[in-house]
Amino acid sequence: MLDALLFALAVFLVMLMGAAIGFLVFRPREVSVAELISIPWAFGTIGVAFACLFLNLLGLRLDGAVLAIIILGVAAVAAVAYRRSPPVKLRMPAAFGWKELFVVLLLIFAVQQFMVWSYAYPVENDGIKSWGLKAKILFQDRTFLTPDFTDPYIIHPHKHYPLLLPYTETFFYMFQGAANDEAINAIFPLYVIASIGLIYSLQRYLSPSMPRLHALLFTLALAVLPLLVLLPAGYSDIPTSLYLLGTAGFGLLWLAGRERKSLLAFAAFGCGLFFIKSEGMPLLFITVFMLFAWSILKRQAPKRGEAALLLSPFLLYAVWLLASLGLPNDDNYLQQARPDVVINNLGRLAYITISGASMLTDYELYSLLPLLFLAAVFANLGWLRDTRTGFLLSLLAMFAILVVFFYMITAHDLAWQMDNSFDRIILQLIPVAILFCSLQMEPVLWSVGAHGSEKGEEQASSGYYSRKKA
Amino acid sequence: MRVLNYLPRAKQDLAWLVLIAYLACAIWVLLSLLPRDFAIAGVDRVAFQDRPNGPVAALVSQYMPENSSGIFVTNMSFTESNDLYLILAYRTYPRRLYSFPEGIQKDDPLLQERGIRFLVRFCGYNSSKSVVWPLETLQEGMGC
Repeated sequence: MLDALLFALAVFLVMLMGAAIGFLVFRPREVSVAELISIPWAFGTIGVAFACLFLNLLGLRLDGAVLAIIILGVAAVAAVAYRRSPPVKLRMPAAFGWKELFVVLLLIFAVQQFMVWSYAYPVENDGIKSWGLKAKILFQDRTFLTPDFTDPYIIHPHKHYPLLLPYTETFFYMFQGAANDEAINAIFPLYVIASIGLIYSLQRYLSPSMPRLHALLFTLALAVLPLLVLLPAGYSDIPTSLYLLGTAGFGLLWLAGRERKSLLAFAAFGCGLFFIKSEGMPLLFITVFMLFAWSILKRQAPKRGEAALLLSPFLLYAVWLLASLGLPNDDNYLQQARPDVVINNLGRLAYITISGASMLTDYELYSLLPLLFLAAVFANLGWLRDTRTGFLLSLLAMFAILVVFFYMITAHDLAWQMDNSFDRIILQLIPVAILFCSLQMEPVLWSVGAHGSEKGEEQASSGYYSRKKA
Repeated sequence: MRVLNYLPRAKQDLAWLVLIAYLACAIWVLLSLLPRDFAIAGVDRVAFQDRPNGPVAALVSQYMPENSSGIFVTNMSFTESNDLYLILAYRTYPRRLYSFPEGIQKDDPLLQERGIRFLVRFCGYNSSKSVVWPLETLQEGMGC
């Protein structure tokens, strides 16, 4: 019972940190239930992890009390800002129709399935050796600047991996007083719940006229994805998908509406993205590149302040890069990313394409997702003119090229590598793909013959935030 | 002309069909995942049913701590490979069994010892209660 209470206290502190950051970023006047279940957890985990990192970089050992004080400090800053702002109201949802209620019940069922499986299924390979082990070292030594990280002769795979997830797990261990790597599985459903809230919110932000049932249906499309449930506990791919969705979604919101708060949220999610997994950095780089490219394409090049915010996650990345220089690197992807390697491995393209396409047809993992995606692409060619869907589709295309490039240069056996990583990499991209499908299919599903491109874009640019100002 | 007029409507119907088919298929898969044979309370039974005389299960059972009601052998442990598998059975998690496929390097005795100490220290919920394969067994498993 005490364990559960301490766990709940740790969840509360993470959410408090996230809510405070969220308040400082958005300064909202109203908050929806979907935002309440997504932003605090997403921002909170990022905030706690970076607080841990900076404590370590300052030569301090991690301490639950010190971290609690930092969190309360951030909350105090937010509280002072709150006193100077109009009070924030909780926007209660309007009454549900029976269709919407049915979808909500299915959402609850999907989350319950995830919770059961994340507890019942054992922690596997990466969950133990890549992430869980780091959390236990951090819990025992309270810093990553310890021989267990820095000594190449100590067995500990992938010492240089980013530490967001291990730091988050360590935070919970510190409050529980033990590295209980069974109980820690309970944090993974929180990432799923946050993803559900975030994809719902982003749909409504990007298309304020979107019917609520439509947003709920595509939120359900993410929640019931079997791959999400079947991924073993302890992996960092679900958190990665959450941060990538936030990075791409808020980046797009900035592109459509040029709101500074969207850019701040993008920067926060971007920091989470590079600090959660090694592939987060190239995903972030591509997103930033595409935001610059689309801004210039729209003849609205980012102003100096906007460009600085767009590039701000790289500043923190540079800090992490410098801090992690001393850690042994047992991956060779950067060394492998050479033109001669790519040219030598051109023959892999056919295998990657055929094998990848074949894996995607596994309905027990992806349901009919490829069919849904193709239907979205071809059902409404509005993406040719619509910034929102055009940006998302081009972003997904770039991500796909990155995935192919990764398999082109890998030094491991290609078949083994694809078997072990393809589903997990694709899972990271799926929320963005479902967001694209939702925006694409909205005019097709709800108004015969409507294109909705310019109209929708216009609405997005004067959308959620402006509406709240009114 | 009438056919052309119907096209948008047909497109809409098709889009709904695809979306509903996707959701129905995904929910059907989720329903089939209901943990009937995978009840949390019966994990040990399932593990041994899968591979009752498997080499990993047989060996590990010799080293299981007292009061352990069962072990769960993960997929990783089922491999027939001769590579080293360092296995830790937790008294505190009697139903859990963790494996380390990347284990300890074969050609460095010092490294083996350090690795074992390292894993003993960090892989158990409580280091003193962890059970690690004896070094001889490890060496045998590695073909040393």
